[in-house]
Amino acid sequence: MRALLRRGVLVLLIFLGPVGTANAEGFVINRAELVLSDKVYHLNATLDFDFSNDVLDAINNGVPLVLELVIEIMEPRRYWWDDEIASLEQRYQLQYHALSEQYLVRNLNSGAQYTYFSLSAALQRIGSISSLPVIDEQLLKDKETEKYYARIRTSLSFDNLPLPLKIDAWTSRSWWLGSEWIELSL
Amino acid sequence: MSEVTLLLKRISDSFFPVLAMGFFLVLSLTLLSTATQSSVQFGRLHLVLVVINALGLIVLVGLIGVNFIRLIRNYRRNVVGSRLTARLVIIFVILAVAPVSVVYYFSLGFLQRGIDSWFDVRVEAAMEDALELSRSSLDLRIRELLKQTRVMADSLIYKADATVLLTLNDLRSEGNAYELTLLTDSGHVIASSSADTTAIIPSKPDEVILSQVRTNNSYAGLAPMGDLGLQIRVAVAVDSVEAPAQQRVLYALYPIADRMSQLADSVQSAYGQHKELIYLREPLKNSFTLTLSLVLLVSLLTAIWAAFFSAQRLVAPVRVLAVGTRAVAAGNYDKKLPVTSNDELGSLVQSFSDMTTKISMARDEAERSKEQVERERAYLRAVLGRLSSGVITLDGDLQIRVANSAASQILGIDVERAIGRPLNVIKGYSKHLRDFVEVLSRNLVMDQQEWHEEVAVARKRGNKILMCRGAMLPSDEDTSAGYVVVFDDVTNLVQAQREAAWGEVARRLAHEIRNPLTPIQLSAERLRRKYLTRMKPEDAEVLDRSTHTIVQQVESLKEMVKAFSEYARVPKLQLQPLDIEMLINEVLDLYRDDESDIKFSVSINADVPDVEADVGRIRQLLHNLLKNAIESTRGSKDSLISISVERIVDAKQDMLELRVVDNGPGIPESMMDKIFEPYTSTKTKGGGLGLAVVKRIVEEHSGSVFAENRHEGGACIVVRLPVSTQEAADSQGNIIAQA
Repeated sequence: MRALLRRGVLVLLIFLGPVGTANAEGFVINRAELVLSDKVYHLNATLDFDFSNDVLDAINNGVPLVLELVIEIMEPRRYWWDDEIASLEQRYQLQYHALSEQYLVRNLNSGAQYTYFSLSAALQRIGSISSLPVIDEQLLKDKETEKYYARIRTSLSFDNLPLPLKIDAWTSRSWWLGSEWIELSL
Repeated sequence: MSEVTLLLKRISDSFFPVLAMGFFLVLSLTLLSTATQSSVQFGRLHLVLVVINALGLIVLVGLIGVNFIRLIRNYRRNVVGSRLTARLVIIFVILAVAPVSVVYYFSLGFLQRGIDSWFDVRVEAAMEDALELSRSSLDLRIRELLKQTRVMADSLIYKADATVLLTLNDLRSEGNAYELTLLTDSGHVIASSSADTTAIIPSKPDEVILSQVRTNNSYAGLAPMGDLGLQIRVAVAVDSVEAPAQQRVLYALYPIADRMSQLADSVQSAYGQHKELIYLREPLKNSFTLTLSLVLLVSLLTAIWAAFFSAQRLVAPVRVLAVGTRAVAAGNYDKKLPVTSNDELGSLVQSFSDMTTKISMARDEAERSKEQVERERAYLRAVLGRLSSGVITLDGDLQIRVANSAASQILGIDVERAIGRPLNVIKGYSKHLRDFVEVLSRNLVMDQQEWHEEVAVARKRGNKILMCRGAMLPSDEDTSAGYVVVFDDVTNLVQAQREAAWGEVARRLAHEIRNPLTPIQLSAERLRRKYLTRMKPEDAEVLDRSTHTIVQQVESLKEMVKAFSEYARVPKLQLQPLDIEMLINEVLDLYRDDESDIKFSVSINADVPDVEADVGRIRQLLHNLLKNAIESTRGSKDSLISISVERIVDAKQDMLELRVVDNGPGIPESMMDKIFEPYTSTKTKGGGLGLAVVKRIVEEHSGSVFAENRHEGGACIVVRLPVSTQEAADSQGNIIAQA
């Protein structure tokens, strides 16, 4: 019966949503800039991933985690939400390999895979983004008016979590580690 | 065919929402349970399903709440059917909740224990051991490869950078390496040879490996390379003659033998999955518990809602019946009750409707017959009211039930006052009615089927003769249903019969006696004329006296015969307007002489109407009355005869009343009702026909006459003549105008 009660509270929490994401733990975008070179905008950024204990438990027990970096090019509009012109999503899968006692990082966009001896090394590697091509300048038609801006955000993807964890993730504050949106000028 | 469609329609009308909602929830629960077991197919759908089911729960809770509040409110207000509904709901809910709760409790237990049973300490230890075994087996191979790589590195010492690639190629194929790369310790690639000819960028050791090479001169370890499978990578320091100051590193990747690789992968993946499963044990339990709880709640709440729904449906005919009963109690039989179902309750409602219809028809019938009875009664009352005979009905206990107005008129009392009271009460209303009541009582008590008897009722103005006829009313049972008594005032009839008899006597007398009288008189006169002068004086005196007596008596007889013939005569009236005042004065003049000490007084009211009358007959009437009065006052001093005339209204008829009053000794009580009959005079003198003639004249004029004694002494004869119709109409008009 207690379990039932807890489920009830849990169901309620689903509707209330995360109470807040601004914790001590969480992802922070330390530095980010868009650089135009060869008529293509490139992103240079440093992301700082600070996992909570629950998430650390999960990764150390072999649960694969997916970290996302979302880059959106926006056009501001009056009296309405800003229009999303283009978006880019970088996804990295992080997994512990028990046999070799190493951490595997796989870039899900390119398929490239790397191994690291420590979690911090793996996270540092994921968090160092340099010269990531974002968008061709040609695609921004009204560049002259300089209306466009970009925004980036990094977060832990819940979609790829194993199902039993998913509900915990949706309802637990310690899984909501995503950063704030950071706006960048073009 | 139509019955089938009707049935379908009824089901879809009533149960469709319930069925649809139930089906939808069961579907989503099935999906949810599938999603809980296999995350791959459903992924994000799982959360959506949880939310949908939770929303469904909220909707259900809302529906039940609304129903519950309505039920409570109805229960408090004592709405018809609410108690039964509440009881049914409680029963249904208990029937639904109890088994489901038991199943839920045991399912939860099985779930917890089932999931726990997947995990065994020994299995866990075996997993660890397998991993360790894999590692040690691979370590052996790693050490071999490290040795082999060192040998390769040694062979590179004297190679120039320009030709080192060829050597690398040879070494790679000889040593069965996947990739061989020579690089500086800062990570700069000098030369690289790969089995994968499409690979352009060689894989490089990371900083950790390089630093280890710097300190230990070598590194060897496992490298999970994703699609390429597990590989062994080895990095050793290489001394170079060409660049002695620079530390170089030979970085080699070796594939593991297929069989070995497969086994290692299998151990790794099994270990990883087991570890993950152990970690996910609690979340998994929670997840299953959540699904199970949702299933339970949805079924339970659906069952509760269905309980409300079906209870209300079941009670609906009862409520309809109650409404119908109240309507019938309030006297409304026309209320139509809807038949909501075709089961026993529905047929009960149908029967109730039929019953009220029949009651309504019976009531209408009763009302019609009541009206019929009322009409009959009114008809009977009208008939009785118009009857000139008095009618009284009595019940078995001689209590008066019905009396018509003629009864009151004849008896001179208000009989209707006595309705519902014993017959004897009438005695109290008038002492004259004692004989009447006694005759009635006596005859009624004897329980004769029919009887009739004449009763004389004493009155101020003489006896009234009533002919009473009685009969028992028909009754169903042995007890007497009552009696009816009909009586008529036959006084006038009796009087008329007596008068007719007298008239006949008078006529015969006049006829039989008058004829011989003239010869007798003539004979006596002839005897006198022939023998008086010839006879001796003493004989002559006898003859003279005798013939004189004969002639005188014959004369007297003639007078009498004349009077008789007058009485018997039925002359034709010559009606003309009568001036009563003039006539009275004219008649009185004959009686006023100085010798007589009788005084007359006349008072005539100013509003005396004209009457149509035969002047000659009225004059005779006045003569007879005055003679009668003078006779009765003869011998007394200070005789006073007063005559008064006035207008009265008797029995709604305008009348002229003439009163002749004397101050004589009055009329003896015994004579009172016979005073107007011939030869009933108290007087010593006179023909005895005076008042009889008066009565006849009055009746010829449709009037009435009676005698009464005055309190202060003396008699009074009252004559009433009806005013002529024209006159009466005029005066009536005046009265109305005055009003």
